[in-house]
Amino acid sequence: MEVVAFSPPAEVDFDAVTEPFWMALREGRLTLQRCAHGHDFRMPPMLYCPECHSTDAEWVALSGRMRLYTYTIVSLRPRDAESPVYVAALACPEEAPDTKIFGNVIECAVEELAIGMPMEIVQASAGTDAALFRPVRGDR
Amino acid sequence: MHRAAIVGIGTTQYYRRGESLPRTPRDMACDAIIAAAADAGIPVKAIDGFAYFSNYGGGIETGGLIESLGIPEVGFSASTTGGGGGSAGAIGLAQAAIANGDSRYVAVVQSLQQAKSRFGAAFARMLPTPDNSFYRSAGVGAPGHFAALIARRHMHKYGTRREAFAEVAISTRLNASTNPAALMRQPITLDDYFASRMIADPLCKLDFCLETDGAVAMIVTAADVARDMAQKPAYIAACKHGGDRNWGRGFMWGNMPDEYFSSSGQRSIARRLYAAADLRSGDIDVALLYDHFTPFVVMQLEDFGFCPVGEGGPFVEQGAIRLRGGSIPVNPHGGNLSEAYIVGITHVVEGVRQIRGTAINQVADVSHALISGGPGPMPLSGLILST
Repeated sequence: MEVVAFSPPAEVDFDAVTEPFWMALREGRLTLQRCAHGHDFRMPPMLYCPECHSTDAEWVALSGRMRLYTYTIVSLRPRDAESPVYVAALACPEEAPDTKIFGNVIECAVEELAIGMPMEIVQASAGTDAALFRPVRGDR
Repeated sequence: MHRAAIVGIGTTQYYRRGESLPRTPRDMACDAIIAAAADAGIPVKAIDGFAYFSNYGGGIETGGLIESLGIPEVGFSASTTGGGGGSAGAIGLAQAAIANGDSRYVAVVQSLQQAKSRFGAAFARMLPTPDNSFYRSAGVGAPGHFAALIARRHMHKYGTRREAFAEVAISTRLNASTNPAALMRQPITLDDYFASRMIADPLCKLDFCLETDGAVAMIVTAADVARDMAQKPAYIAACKHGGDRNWGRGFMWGNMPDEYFSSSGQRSIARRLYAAADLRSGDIDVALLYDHFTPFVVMQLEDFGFCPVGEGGPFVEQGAIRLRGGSIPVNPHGGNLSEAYIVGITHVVEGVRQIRGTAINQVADVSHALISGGPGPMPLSGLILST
C-alpha cells in the first residue's frame, strides 16, 4: 500500500486567536492556548475560557511529544482499490492528554500504526500546513 | 397523555444521486405534500404550518411551497438548526406549533437533490475558516473521515470488530431486499463486506449510506383531531432535540472527552426522551436508527440503552438487530444504507408505518417505535411514536 507523505494541501485560515498555534507549528513547535486563570487548555483555540469566560489566555510551549489517539487511513481516490493513502489522526500532547490535535502521521507504515503509540511533532514540510506526527523510535 | 400525532405520510420515489433531474426539489416536495395530505384525508390547502430540519438539499422554502400549492396562510414556519441531527426533532417543532395554537395541520418536509453537490463532500466544499482549518489541514474533509476516527477509537476501546459493522450492513440490506422502494436490494454476505473497497479505514464502501434524491412529507396534528381521521394515528409519545456540551460540535470538534468521543452523542437525548415518554429501552419494539455510517448504529444501540456502552459490537454480532429473531429489530425498511438517504426522514415514515401495522417488513405487535436523528453536529434528536 502506497502511503503518501501527507494529505492533499488545504489552505489554512487563521485569526488573532488561532495564529500562534499555526506560527509555532511552521517551526515544528507545539503550543497550546490555556486560560490565564488556571483553567484548561482549549483546542481549537477560542476567545473565551468556557469555565470562567475570561479572555485572558496564555500560550504554553509543549515538548511536542504526543500519543496517537485515533487514526484513519484515507484513500486519495476512493473509487480506486489501488489508491494511495494518507493517514489522518488525532494525537494528544503528553502535557495535555485530554486535548486532541488533528494531523497527519508520517514516516510510519500502516501496519505499524497503533493507538497509544508515542509520536512527535515534526516541522511542517513544504507543501502542507498540517500538523505532522511521526513515531518516536528507539534510535532517535 | 399524547398531545399530537402523525396522521399522513407521503414520499416520492427514491432516485440515485442526481437522477431526479429535471425535477426540482420544490416539485418533489409538492408531490410528497400532496400525497401526505391525501393519506391523511385532508385538503392540501388545510395545511397551515411547516417544519423542517437540515435544508442542505436546498431549493425548498415555505414561500415557494405555499405559492405552488395555493395554501392561503401559515401560522408556523421553522427549522431545527444543524443538519441531519434534527430529522426526528422536526416532528417536535410541529408538535410545538400545534401546542401553541399556531397551526392545525403542520407539514414536516424534506427534499434532497444531490445533482450539483454531494453530501459526502459537504465539508470539503467549505471555504477555509479559523475553525475548520484545524481538521481540513489534515485531510479530514468528509463526514466519513470523522466517522472513521470515531469508529477506530470504539474498536480500540471496546474491542469492537469490523464484523459488527458488517452485520449492520448485511442485516439492513437483507431488510431492504423485500422493500420495493429500496434502491439497494441485492443481499450481501460477510465476504462481500470484506471485499468492499476501503474508503477511510476502518470504513469501507458498505459502511457508508447511499447518496440519493427524493422528498418526504408528513402531516402532524393534535391528538384529539387525529383520533377521527383517515389513518390510525402515530401518537408522539415524546420528541426531544438538543445535546450535551461533551459532544458539542461532535464530528468537527474532535475534542469530545474520551467518555463521549466513541459514542453517538445521543445519551442525553435518550435520557430526556425516555423520561418524557415514561418508557425505557425495553419497551421499544422497533428502532429506526439514523444509519449514515454503520458504526453509529452500534453506538446508538448503546446510547439508547439497548445494550451497555461498549457492548454494541457483540450485541449486533449475536443477531440482536435482525428482523427475524432479533431482540430489537433495527431499520426494517433498509435505512439510509440500503433504502434511501433523504437526510434520515425516511426513518420517521417507517416508524409511522410500523405503528399503523402497514410496513413492508412489519414487526409484530408494535406499540412503541424509536426514531433517532443523525449523530453529527448539534442538535441531535430522538422521537418515540406510540399506538
